Amino acid sequence: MSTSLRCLLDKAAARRIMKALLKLASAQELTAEEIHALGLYERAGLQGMRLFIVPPTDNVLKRLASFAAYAPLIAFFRSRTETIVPARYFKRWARRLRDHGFTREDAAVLALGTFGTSRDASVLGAHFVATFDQPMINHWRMQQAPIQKRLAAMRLHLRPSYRAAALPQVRRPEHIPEESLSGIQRLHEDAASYEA
Amino acid sequence: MEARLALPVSIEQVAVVIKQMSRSDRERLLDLVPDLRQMSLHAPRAQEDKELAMVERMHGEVSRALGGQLLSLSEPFLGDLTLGQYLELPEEECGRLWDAWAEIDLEELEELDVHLAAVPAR
Repeated sequence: MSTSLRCLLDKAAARRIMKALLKLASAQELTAEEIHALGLYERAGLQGMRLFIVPPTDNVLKRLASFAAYAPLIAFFRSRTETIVPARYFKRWARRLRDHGFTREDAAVLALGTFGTSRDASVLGAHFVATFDQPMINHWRMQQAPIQKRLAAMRLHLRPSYRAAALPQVRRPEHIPEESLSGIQRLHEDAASYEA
Repeated sequence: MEARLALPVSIEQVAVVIKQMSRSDRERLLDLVPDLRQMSLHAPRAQEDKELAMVERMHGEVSRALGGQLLSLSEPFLGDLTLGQYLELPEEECGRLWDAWAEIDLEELEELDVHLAAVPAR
């Protein structure tokens, strides 16, 4: 399980999946973005990709689950998602990402993509961050080279279990590719040409 | 008869080259590979069909999770809203409400130490 691909849903991506489920449960029509988010949710289930949500999303879901009518739907959503936990160096890395022009909130989500872990602390980071925030995606791409350089420099001084920390691919849910793990390994090695 | 050539680079690298082409070169490419033009005409419809099938499957799963009962739009929701009122809100407003309901600052959370053999995202 721990070798599965991992995808971190930012708040808006998780919210749209939840809104899509609520709409399906009340016979309402879905928007294009909700369909794209729901597509990622289904694809993850079919392909064994681990989906993570951020702790603020988890908090909202807990509050919503206190309403009996929504509890089964929340349980359904939670059956395919886990809550990411900040790992050591998360705050330090978030501060450094802010130096590259990311907002406090964006930097925190992106930092979880590198220094986030599961509740059992058996993984480090996510392969993807799913977001609908196109300016953030563009800025992440623009800043790839200096951020990679900064992470490489930081890694030299980290504890051994953190020295393989990597940057996630930041993409819209519909662009999270249906690729094998070996495909993703190649993608990381040749990120510059893939993103061009 | 055309010789069959092995692709010496990845599809992604071919895509990069195509992105760098001028419009006239792209049109020439479409003339040389007419299948591409045909595929692009059918792609939107195929994508819509794929999405429709996905929504149908998910509808079935949601229905089973709820024991076949639909949720009423008048069901109370967070923030003194009904479900129907919440679903009609613009995304920006939903975002503001979720931020308020979350009541948590990521940077105030305690950091956890990963295991020595923690699997990196590589």
